[in-house]
Amino acid sequence: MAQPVMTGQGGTWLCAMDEIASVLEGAVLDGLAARSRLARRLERQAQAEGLRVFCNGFEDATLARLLAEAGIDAAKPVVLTTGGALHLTTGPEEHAIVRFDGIPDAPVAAIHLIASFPSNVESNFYLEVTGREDATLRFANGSVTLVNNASVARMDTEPAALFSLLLTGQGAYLFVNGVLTKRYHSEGGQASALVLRLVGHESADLSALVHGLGIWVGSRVRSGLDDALTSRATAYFDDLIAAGDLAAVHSWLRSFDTEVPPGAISRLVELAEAQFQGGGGVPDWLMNELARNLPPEHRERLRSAWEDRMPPPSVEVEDLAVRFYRQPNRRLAFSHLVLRKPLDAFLVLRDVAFRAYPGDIVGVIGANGAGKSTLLRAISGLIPISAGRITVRGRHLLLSPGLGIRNELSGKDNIFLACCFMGLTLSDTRELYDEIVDFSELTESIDQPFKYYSDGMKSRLIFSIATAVAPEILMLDELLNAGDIRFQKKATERMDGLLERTKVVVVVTHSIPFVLEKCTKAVLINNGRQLAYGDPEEVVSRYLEELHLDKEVGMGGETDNVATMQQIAQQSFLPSGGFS
Amino acid sequence: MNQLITYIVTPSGVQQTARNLQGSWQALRSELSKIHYIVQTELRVKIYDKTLGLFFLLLEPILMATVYYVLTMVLLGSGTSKATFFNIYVAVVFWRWFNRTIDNAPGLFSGYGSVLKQTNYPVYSIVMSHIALEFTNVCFALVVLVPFLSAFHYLPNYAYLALPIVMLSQFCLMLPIALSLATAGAFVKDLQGVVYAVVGIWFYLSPGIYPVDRIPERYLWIYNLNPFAHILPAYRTIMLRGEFPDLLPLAVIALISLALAVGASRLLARARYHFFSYL
Repeated sequence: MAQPVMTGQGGTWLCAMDEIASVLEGAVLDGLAARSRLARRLERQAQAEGLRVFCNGFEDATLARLLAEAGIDAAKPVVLTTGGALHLTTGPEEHAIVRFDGIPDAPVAAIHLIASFPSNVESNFYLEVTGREDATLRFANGSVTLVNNASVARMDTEPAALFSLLLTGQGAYLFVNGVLTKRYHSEGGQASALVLRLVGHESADLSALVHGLGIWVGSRVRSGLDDALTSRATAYFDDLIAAGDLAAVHSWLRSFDTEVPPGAISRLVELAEAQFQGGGGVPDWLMNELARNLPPEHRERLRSAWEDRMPPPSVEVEDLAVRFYRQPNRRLAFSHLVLRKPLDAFLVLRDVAFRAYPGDIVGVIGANGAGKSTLLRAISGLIPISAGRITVRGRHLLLSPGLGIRNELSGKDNIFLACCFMGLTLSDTRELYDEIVDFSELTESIDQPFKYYSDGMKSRLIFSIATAVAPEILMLDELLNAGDIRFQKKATERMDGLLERTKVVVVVTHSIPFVLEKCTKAVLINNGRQLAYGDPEEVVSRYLEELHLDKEVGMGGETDNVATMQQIAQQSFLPSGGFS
Repeated sequence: MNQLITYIVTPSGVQQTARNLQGSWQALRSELSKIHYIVQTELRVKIYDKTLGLFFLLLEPILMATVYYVLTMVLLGSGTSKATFFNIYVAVVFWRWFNRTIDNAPGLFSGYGSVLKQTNYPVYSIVMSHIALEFTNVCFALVVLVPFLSAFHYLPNYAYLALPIVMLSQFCLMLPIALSLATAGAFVKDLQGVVYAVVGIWFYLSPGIYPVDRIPERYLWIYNLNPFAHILPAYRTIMLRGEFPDLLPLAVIALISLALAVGASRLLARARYHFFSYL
């Protein structure tokens, strides 16, 4: 992960972290010796800042010893490894929680965590600080996210790394292996407990390793930290603008929760005006985000220049709302028409607005029943909308599994029929016929009635038909996982080819890797409302937040599948009577 | 067809920018070829691939005519004659075209529910496919009827030139009815049962199993408001008497029906937008 090393000016904390960064470069943190040396440096750093130790779980496997004394049952989801690390594991519907209670109310806290994720952890490992919601971190295979502003840092989390969280009255600061990575401004608060949480996944076993944990608390840090960061930010910002990387500028602004340095505003506006000459989608969300960080007079200039240069959007959704009746047939019933009994209606979608430009691949994500498929159907004009406006410029097609298939017809007839329904002419279908049959690997069975096909054969044929067409605007409704495992590689390559041939793609999917790797922008729908639109990483982060909110485990309950330890406070090194 | 098409979806419905003339013509040709293909597959599914399919299709009119003949002429004692039987047979062939087209109209869009809920496949093509299918069936019936009539000395003659005109008039009559019932049937699921009953009554109010001259003169003016009071006798005039029928009432029927069809089309276009919740 490329981030600048914050050296020099202002604040011993920064200097100390710089030292740690240089020490940790190339170091392996799994071993006791390395952790011990690190622990001593962290102790010195904390003392220099006037912080007192609450828990030092680095030295000589202290953490492991503490937890062993707490009587951890090997059958529970949290166990000790022979190396002294905490190994959190979960199966479906399980949660693993390690809680450190009793942190004295502290306006300043420094939390250092050594963790690694050599196995699958999805995006399900959380570090939370009670009293400081601005400090919640989410760990995944490949990233760490500051949850509060959905700011994602991409990194390899398989090897052990040091994650340092400094909480002050100005906000939260995240360092990874000593390098400042994220900052979030907030009013601060009192940290009173720390929670490590691994949220179970419905279809996978997850695991995380905690090699060491240290918590230091105090009343203040030395002054100058924010000033040092600001001056460094200005210099780095200039480099980014000179490089012409607008996405990196945006990433920096989000990572450090800062405004555009005054001296760089004009150059940023000029850079933005020169962007997006064609192809590869149009990140209008990026422009809106940048505009938010500018003073009003520059904001309007940027917006009008932007509007002039942008091509017309291929799909434009404005303030969309869709209302359904729970029993639509009753609208024509005697009780409603004559007796005027009211009908029960509900909003399936509301406040949805986004744009897709030529070159865009838009991922629509959300939980089941959120309204994603309804959104695609509304864009296609297949369902009535209650408010708003949708403009579609170009031939569009909504693909979903099983389109128009007739069981009694042969595979060949179904190919022609399905293509008819999708808007192709018969001559177009004849040209595509051989390719469809070859791809589906059904050459010998193509004349048999569809009802005699196996499930695998059916899904191969349906997928092959659906992906043979490349309209200008393609909408896919969860078509990405068709076919059996052996067919998947071919299907993936075919999807890639389809995406390249199409001008605009709007895809409803549950595949987070697809959204992160392929999509130029994303939309999050939850309970019919648009919660996020824009950067795929940010939208996915917010999606995971919503997902895991449903899996919150109340403390004291569900003890059969949750390992909870609240004994660390009693075992801490803090003098009795609390912090002084 | 490279013309950019723009769709605008609002709470009022879907508007589409107009195609140019060439684009419209190409679209029409494409739809006609698709309708042709759909009719072929439907024939294959419903008739050719069934054991008794074709056999039943060809002989069913004869069987129906025989039933009506026995009922009215033998059991009810109106007297038997070859002419009466063929009067009924000819009427039944063309009435079956009408009642099969109309009886199945209300359930038409439900049968294509998955297609209509996932694509913008033109609803008119679905209706036209249905009408074309039933027209094909009546052509099969004619393939049996004409030789059958010939065997009993009712030979084809120059009056057969008027047969397409009468059939066109009947087609125009069926068009607005089929469009309206198909539209209504998407919303009212039990409409099909009502249609069965109404069409059945309509048959008995039409000169199918009896001649028009059985109607008392003072009721004729009402009776003649029924289009089939002119259409069915026209078929008999051509095929059994070898004469040209009076084309004026048929032209009036066609013109009025076409005007109604325009209205029914507009109704369908507006209703299509609301199909999703009902299909």
